[in-house]
Amino acid sequence: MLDLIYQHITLQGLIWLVPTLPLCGAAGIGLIAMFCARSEGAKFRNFASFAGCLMPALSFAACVVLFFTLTGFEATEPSAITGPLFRWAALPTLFVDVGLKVDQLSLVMALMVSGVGLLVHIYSVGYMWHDEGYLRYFALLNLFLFFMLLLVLADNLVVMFVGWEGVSLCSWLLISFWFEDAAKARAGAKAFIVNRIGDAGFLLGMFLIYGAMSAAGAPAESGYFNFESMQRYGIYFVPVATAISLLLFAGAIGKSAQIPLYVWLPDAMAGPTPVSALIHAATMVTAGVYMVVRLNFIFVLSPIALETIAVIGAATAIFAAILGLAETDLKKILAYSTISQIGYMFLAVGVGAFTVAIFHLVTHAFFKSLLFLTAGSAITALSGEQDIRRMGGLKRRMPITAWSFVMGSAALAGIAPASGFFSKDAILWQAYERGHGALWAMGFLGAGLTAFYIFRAAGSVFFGESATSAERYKRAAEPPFSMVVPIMLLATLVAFAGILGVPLAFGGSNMLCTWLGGLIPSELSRAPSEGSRGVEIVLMAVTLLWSLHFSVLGWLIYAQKRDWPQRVARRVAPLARLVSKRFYVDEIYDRTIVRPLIWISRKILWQGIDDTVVDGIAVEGTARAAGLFGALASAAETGILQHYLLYFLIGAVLIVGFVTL
Amino acid sequence: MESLTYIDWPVTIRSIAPLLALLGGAMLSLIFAALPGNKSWRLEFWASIAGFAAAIISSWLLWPQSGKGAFATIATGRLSQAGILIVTISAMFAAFVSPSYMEARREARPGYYGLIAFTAFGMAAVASAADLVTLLISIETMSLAVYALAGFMRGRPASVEGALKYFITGAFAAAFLCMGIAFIFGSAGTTDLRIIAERAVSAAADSRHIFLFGLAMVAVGLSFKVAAAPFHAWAPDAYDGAPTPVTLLMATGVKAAALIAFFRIASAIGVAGGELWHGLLWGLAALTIMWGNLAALRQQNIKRMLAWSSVAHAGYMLMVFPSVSANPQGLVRALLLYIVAYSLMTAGAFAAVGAFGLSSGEPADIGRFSGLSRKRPALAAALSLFLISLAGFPPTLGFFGKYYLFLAVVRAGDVGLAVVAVVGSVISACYYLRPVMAMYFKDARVRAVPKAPTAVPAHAFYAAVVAAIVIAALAVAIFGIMPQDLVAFVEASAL
Repeated sequence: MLDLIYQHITLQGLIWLVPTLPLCGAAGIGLIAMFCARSEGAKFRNFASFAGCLMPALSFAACVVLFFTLTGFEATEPSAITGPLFRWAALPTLFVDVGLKVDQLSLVMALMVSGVGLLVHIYSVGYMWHDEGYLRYFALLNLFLFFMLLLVLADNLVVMFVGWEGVSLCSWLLISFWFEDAAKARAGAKAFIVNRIGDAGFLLGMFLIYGAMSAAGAPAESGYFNFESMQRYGIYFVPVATAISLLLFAGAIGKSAQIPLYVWLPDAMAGPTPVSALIHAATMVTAGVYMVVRLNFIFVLSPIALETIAVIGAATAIFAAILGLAETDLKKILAYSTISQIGYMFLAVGVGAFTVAIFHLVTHAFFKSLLFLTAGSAITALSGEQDIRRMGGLKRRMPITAWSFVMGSAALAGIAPASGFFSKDAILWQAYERGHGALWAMGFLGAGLTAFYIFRAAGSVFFGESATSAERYKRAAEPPFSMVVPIMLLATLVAFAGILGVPLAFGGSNMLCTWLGGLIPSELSRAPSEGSRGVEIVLMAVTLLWSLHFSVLGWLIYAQKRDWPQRVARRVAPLARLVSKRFYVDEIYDRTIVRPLIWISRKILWQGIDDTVVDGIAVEGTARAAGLFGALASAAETGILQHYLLYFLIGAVLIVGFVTL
Repeated sequence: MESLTYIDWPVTIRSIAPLLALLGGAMLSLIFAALPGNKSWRLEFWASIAGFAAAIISSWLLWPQSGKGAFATIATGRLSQAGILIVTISAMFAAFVSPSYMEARREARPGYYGLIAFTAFGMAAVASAADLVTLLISIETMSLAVYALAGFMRGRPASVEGALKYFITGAFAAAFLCMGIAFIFGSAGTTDLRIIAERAVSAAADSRHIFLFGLAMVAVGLSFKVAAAPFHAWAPDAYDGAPTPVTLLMATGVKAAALIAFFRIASAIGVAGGELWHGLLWGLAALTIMWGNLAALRQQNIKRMLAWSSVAHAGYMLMVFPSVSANPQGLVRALLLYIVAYSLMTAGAFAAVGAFGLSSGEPADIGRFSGLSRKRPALAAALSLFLISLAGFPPTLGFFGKYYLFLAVVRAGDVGLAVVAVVGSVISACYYLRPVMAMYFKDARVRAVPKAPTAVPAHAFYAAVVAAIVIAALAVAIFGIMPQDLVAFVEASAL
């Protein structure tokens, strides 16, 4: 099979195909969407579904082929680069080639992105079928996949940044997909703008890298931003490692919605639910984690930066979990859980366990997209109801969806044997083992909260009595086939993905982490301590029981005793209010940053400088002056012949005088 | 008489065949015009077209073999052939647009096409005059015919008024031209441009004064013909009053012929003017550019707007003259290319304006163009193309014309002048885009349009109007994207 493929196509060609195929899909569907009216678009729906799902499928297939090819080379590292496809920028001191690189890390990411992407595309066929913008939707989703694959496969930081910005663009386009609704359009703009704040840091980090590389005297031809040459000259980053790491991490904070830039993600739920599943849960928001792991050789040079990352990660994990407790919008609960889980990943990165972070990233992608897709089905079944207080009892109407959601919740809560258990415990164990007791405690606390809020959602939505109107409840049913299949596939993945990382303490092999470890120098040198296995097992059991206890509690309370929490909330009213208002963070940002900025922009920059100086004096002033001279010139055109002859004579006299005198 | 036998007649006739063809066509038209019956103008029309066609073909055939030759007082080189091609084609455009225009106004009378043919002959002679006296005579031939054409619509007071103003100022200018020639003759002892060129440089100090005086007078006379400020005042009135096809002819052919003649004089004897000449023409060009563009801003009438724009374009083309002696070849290339571009887009614009006027009367006000894009989409698109090209936006011929012209001017060292021209171009975008905006972004004023026939009018010869517009539009668009053939032709013409 592999031989047959490689008879016709080179390894490099295959790598290029991975991102290019979705781009072709995006271009094809996008052109049709652009040139036909919305009403005519319906004719092309079948084509869009076919091409829109075929391209990710082929892309995924290419990833699989790459995986088996590269793991087949036993003697060498499973990595390959395409080399430069073309030279993008050639300045005397800066060369940027566009090239792709496949190694363990990007392979895992590409498999995850294209795999989950494929499932979400299939799900979307059913979910979006009746939408007017069906073609536009598929074009954008394919485009997103292209940029995301470019991001993970890039062999240098600049191309990665192109993908990084590209996914932001697609995210903006898809959050405000229903742009007729002003609130949704604003949510998209908010996501885009908040991301730019982080990207400013990212860019500054890139400038510093450029400075460090050129100061190190690295050969410009190899490309200062090429990961390999960066790694080769890694030692020269030492003096600026903290600055570079923190600036790059600022980009990651924006993209991955960490404190203090997490505010855009809950609003981003305004987009279609499959978009939330793919972009705002599984792939794009985890790009920050991927970036930090990819550049691990810089981050390990700065213990301060790693410490900061770990603390921000842990704080976000616990803070977002608290916010999730009081949220009543189903999709926003999932959004807060995403923020919280990415916090865990950064916690892992911060303590130096890069591979574990990727492990959690992968399992999280599975269970969180599963949760979103099932939530989307439930929301659709109730004709758009998102408030968990007005749902309930859906298990009887849509059992597959309900049990899949429970499976996802179990994984999120970290209950064995769902995959989330292994990855989350790996993070907590790494934090503990590497001596970060406080961080472990925060993670532990967060795990309990997580279990509670997600089973609160599960209990409210799928169990207990229905809180929606009887008629609506009667109409609720399992979604169409194309939506059920991806859900079931994802549920299977969620159930078994834990195999990738069964810890050594359980007699497992910790497959994924060991495999990835080859890439990460700081992990290679670290020998696992033999004597701590007992401790690991005990801690694991404690965490499991802790999570399980909260899960059952949340499920019981919200499935059967829904008035309890309200009574408790009344007793601690101020606190409950504070949490349900999200600690007023949005309001504080609004007062301290957004409004002053708008005030300065409007009063000083717009009305002061732009309106008065630029428009008033420069632009309109010029126009008025031109108009005035025009009026003078026109006024000279009196229509009286004598005047014309007078001008003539004046001109002639001037000319003759000029020449002869 | 004896000397006539020394002339190699076949060769001579061949070398001035285009001029003879035009003259023959004009004569023939007059004879047909004298036929009885009120439809004789049709034969006259075809006779004039035949003359133009013969001239174009013979000039096209002659072009490859001509070098810098001359016959007596007529230059027969490639520059002349190119000039004849340009002016004859503009005359042909004017003739094509005329029949349906004149019929629609019930002004189709005999004599009109004969006058156009004589104008064409005059223009061709102006473009190939190598002697000041020949120049004077051919300018007068051309002008007399145009005066009559401008006032051809006797029923329209504006037409007569414009023609009269044109005629009187023209006579005034002719006096200057004539006197200038006399002074030059007085100092140089000849009217042959080539000989003057040799003598002017070495002229003695006292006669140099007289020479310069004469040169200035000639410059004044020719500035009138190209409508350079401040000798332009007649142009808006005459352009507005004249029948639109005649305006087309005045704005394209007449101006092109005068510019080529101007160039001959400038390259031959301008060098003797030295710094004075440079300063004089610099000021003239800058003044014309700014005056034309600024005055055009305020115009509500599209013909007057185009008249002022033609003043501004005359200014752009005058930019080649200040430093003409520095690099005559490069500058004449740029000038010729610009003349071709300008003639095509101006001819197209006036043809389109005339075509619009066929169904609903002369469109005096730009507001009348509101909503034209929905009523006559093809016509609106064509007119927009011409206006955008006049404004100099890529990818149109107008852009390349401006590009090469400004480049040549900068290379010749007149950076300041190029800056003035660029500023002028920016201003010009403002008024060129107003009709486009009206056509595409405004709805028709309900009140202003009585249930007028908005469909294509069924005039005879309407196909000729369409052909003229289509040819001009294609040329503007295609040469705008692939200018290399045109550039090659122009470069070869500037030998």
